[in-house]
Amino acid sequence: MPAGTAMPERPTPWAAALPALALFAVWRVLAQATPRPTEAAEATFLALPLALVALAAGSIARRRAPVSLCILGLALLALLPGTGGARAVSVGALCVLTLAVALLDRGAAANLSERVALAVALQALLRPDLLLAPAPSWHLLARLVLLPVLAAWASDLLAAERGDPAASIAAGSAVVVEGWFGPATCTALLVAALVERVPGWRRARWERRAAAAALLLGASLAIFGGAADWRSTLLSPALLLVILPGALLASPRRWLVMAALAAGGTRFFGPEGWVLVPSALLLALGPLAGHRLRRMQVGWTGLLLLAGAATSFYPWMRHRPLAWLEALAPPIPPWATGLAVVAISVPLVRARRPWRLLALLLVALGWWRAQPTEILLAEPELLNTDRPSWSRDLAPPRTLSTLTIESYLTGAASLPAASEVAEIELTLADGTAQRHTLRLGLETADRDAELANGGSWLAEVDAAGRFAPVFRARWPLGEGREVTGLTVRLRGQRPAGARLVLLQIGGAP
Amino acid sequence: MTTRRGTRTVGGWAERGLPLVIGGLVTLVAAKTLPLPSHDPLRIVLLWLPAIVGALLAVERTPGALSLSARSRRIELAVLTALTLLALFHNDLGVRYSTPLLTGSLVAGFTLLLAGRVLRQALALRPLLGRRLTGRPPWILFWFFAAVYLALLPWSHQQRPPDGDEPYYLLLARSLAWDHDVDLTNDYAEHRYRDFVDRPLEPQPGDPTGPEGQIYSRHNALLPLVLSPAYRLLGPAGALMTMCLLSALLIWSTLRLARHYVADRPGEALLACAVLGLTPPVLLFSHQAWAEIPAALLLVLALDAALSLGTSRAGKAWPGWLRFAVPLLLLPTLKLRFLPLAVSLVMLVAWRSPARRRRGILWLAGGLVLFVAGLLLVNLVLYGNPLKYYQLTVLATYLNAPTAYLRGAVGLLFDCAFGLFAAAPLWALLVPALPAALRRRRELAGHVALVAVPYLLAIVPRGEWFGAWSPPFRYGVALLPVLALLLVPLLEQRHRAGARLSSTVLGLATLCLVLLAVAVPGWTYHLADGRNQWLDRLSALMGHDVARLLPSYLRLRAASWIWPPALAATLLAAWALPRRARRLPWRGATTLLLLLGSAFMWAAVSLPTRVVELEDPWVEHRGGQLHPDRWRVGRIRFRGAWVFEGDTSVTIPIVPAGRRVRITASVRSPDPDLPGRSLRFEAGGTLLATLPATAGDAWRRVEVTEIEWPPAATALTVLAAHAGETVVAPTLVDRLDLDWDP
Repeated sequence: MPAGTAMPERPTPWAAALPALALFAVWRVLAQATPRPTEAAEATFLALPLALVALAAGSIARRRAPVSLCILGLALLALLPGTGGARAVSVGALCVLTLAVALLDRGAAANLSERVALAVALQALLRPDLLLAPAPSWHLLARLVLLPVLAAWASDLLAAERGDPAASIAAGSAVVVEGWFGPATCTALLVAALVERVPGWRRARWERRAAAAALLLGASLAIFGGAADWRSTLLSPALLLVILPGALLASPRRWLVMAALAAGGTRFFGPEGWVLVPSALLLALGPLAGHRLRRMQVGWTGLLLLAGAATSFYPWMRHRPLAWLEALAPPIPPWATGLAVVAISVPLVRARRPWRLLALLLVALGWWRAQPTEILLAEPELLNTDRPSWSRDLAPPRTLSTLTIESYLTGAASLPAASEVAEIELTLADGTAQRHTLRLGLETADRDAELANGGSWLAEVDAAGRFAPVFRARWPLGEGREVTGLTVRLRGQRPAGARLVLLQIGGAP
Repeated sequence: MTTRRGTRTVGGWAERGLPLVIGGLVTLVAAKTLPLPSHDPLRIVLLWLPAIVGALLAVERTPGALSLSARSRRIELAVLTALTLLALFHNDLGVRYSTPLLTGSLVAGFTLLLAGRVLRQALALRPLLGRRLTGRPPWILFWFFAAVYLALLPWSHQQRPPDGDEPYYLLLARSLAWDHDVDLTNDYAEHRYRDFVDRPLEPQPGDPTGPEGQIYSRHNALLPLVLSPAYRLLGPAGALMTMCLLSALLIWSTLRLARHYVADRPGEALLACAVLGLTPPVLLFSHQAWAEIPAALLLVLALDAALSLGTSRAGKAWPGWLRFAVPLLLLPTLKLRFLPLAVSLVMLVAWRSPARRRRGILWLAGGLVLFVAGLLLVNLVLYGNPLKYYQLTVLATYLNAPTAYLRGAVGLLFDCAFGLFAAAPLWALLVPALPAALRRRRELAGHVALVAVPYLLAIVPRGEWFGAWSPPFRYGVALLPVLALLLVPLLEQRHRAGARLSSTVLGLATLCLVLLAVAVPGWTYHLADGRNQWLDRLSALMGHDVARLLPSYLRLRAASWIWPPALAATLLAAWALPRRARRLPWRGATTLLLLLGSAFMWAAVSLPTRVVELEDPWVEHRGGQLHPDRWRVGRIRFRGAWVFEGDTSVTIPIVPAGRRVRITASVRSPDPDLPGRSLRFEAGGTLLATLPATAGDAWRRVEVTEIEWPPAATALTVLAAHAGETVVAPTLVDRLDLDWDP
């Protein structure tokens, strides 16, 4: 900081909270004043994340003017006519900019309360699906508040031990999994614990540490894993596998190992794995290269975090940043992956402590079990009477064990519940076909009816730029099915104007 | 804001101008390589972005200016990068059907960024003014404001082609540039206006015609003459760029003028000029072809010259008189409406001058009279009317009732569509500024009164005191520079807590309106119907009458008389608070503004419905039509109404205030010989009353009998009853008055 430049003091909690509360009031009053149910639902939905973003930004930022202007911008967005689409893009972008401005304006290392505010805001931003017509429950409270608070605590512990960038990297990497899920949070806690900040942890024998870690992870998977997003379920262990062994080794070797692990991790974590590579590489090189690279670490983590937050408003877009990254990076040939594994193994095998072998075993286990996730439909497709089916040939054949479809229906409020809406046909390599049914209220939902009834479907922004519920259905296909083609066709009797929008289809091996 | 690290020492024009050169080159390269289609609205924004950034960086490098803090620059860079990426890839965001909203939001984001940089940069230029204002303010201030106006021009011009009187000024400029005459016959015939508007353009009503069918413009040729060289070189864009430069010159000249009154307050004078130049109305007029900015500039130049008369101790006096006489005579040449300003200036000089100079003043006054007489004569000879378009009766302002003066005067400041304070709430600081100026700078206050009062007396009683189809406060723009100087004594007390809070709240509110005005340039034009564009949008969004809470002097209502004293009392009290505050209360002001916004919306949906104007957008119409037509010339002469014909029905959201209500309808039939249709009033699915057919084409207030309001009903439906075999005319309904009995 230049001489003579006084850094403004931290804001008091009330000073940070008041603009956020006022912003909440604007959106809530607008929601109550809006006569159209869809717009009211959207304004209600947006009020809380925006207020939380304002609270986090107000807590973090030192200079008042930039964040105040951003908060005013968030209030002005309430006046944009129409719903969904453009407004969601604008709101998402401005939320991200607000947080970015606040983080850039942060003068000194954040304290725990600031981290908590940031983590809660990010959770609301990254998991907006939790906030549409939410049914109050302990589960919801835990996901909205407890998990981010724990994550913030873990991040704070890491920051105290390893410095701010390390904590940011860990937090940022966890955010890749689209919000704080149970496994990701517990992974972060584990990492924090393993760097010897939890009382008593340092003195515990390695068997006890491993047992405690397994218990924590198992409990989190049991509590949160079943309901978690399918990609997050995969990525949480990925995070564990990438960060855990590295955290156990001595610096600077730890960082090199983490980098190599991350490179290897891309083999089995699909395109998402790439996101971990720059984080880990920067993390690896940071302590060696000094201050400038640490800044890059923070910058990258911020980008990662904010890109995650921005794309949370467009579910059909989530894969794009990752796909761009994948396109930028060269493909890793198998021999390079093998070399990476050898490189990882050398320091691990030479390690004195036997629990390092456990890390190696975990890597091997991950290599064997984990498979890449594939997006089979990226852009939204609209099916109606004029275009009743969509299909895609898969060449070469894909080995899939689960299929996930995000979709919604419009103009079908008159259909009875559980009516057949569409049929999904998978053509298998042996020439046979496997069929599944998309049913109203079970595997997909009607946008208008659900909104009018205050239903609890996930609320997202649809392809036509409107606020709409999205339903995510998942089918187990059986172990390792070779799939050569995929067709979705409308079925059953529908009203004339009914439309089915397929937002995204993904397959996991 | 700015750091205390001291001032910049970057030297050399080449080094300082380097960012501008690089920015310009990037813009040139981008014109060929930008990956956005030519019809993309954001293309022009991204195209000019490098040049604008370069220009602002060049200003930042001014030697002697304060450095901007590195942290703020970093934030700006991050936001600029993010906005640019979003703008570049906005077509890939999957929001194909909402592009105008998205592009508007992005442009608002760029504008916010620009506003932040411009405000900080303006303050950083403060050391250039030194301890006292001089007759040569730094020219970098001129270029700084020019850069701001030129930055807004491309987007605004693309989104909002010239409107109101603008196209006619530009057409005349084109005729002067290419045909070297003022005859527009061939320009209309050959559609030469297609250079700048995409709609058919016809002569304005009342445009003079020549003996051989020549079509002239009712507007004077001085402004088009100034614009014509740039038009010839660069087309309409060149003419509008000239307007930007004139606007920047206005701000620079105002700062120069300030030395006569507040030379010891350069910082406050700079702040006042920033308020003048960076807020509406000047910001809105800066890149549009209206006579208002040139008039303000001529007034400032003439006033400056008038105050300089006799101050030069050496040399001859005639150059000073010439500097005074030229702008003085150009004022009525620009528009005859500005003649009172010229007269005021002569009176001012006479008042200030010693007896030995009275002869010169008499010569000047005589010259002015002769000049104006010559102008009238030329008009009479060429166009058959000394006033071109107006009748001589418009000069008889003394015939107007005192209420017309009151309505126009208060309306010019407070009207929600055309008032100065509604366009830029920051200008409401004029309310506490007036007593402050009277107390501390009496000469300034006296001169402002002398210049402004005769002009206002001529303007405010007019039927179109609001300026017609134009950005707000049109007729007052010429006075804005001198009004801005009134702010200086007030700003001397700006460190007080109440002053900081009130000015920050007003400044933030102004910023919000500027963002809306820049993002959607069309929203700066309002119809004279008691509402404004954004109130209409908000009313439609909320389904309630929001406009009733703000003052209008075209459609008088309770708010019209509550707002002026309430605002004045609040501001005077806030500025009277003696306690000092260390810094601007950004968080407090933001909170207050947002809470006021919430309260405003809450009040709109909670206060009982007492008056319903049937043609308002918050009323849901099915069938029928607006009366008179939206674009009817002189529409304010008619009562706005909704025409009930056929199966017309309207649904009105109602906030009841009791169990019984007495409805009074203002109705008439358009045909004097036929009765209008009878009307049915329904609420909650039950018929409340029937209004029998009305006869006669005069407006009548008809009372519907007192009725029981259904407990759960929140809307009133008015339907045109079936006429059966009877021949009836439509019924025009202007408004409903609802008198609730609790």
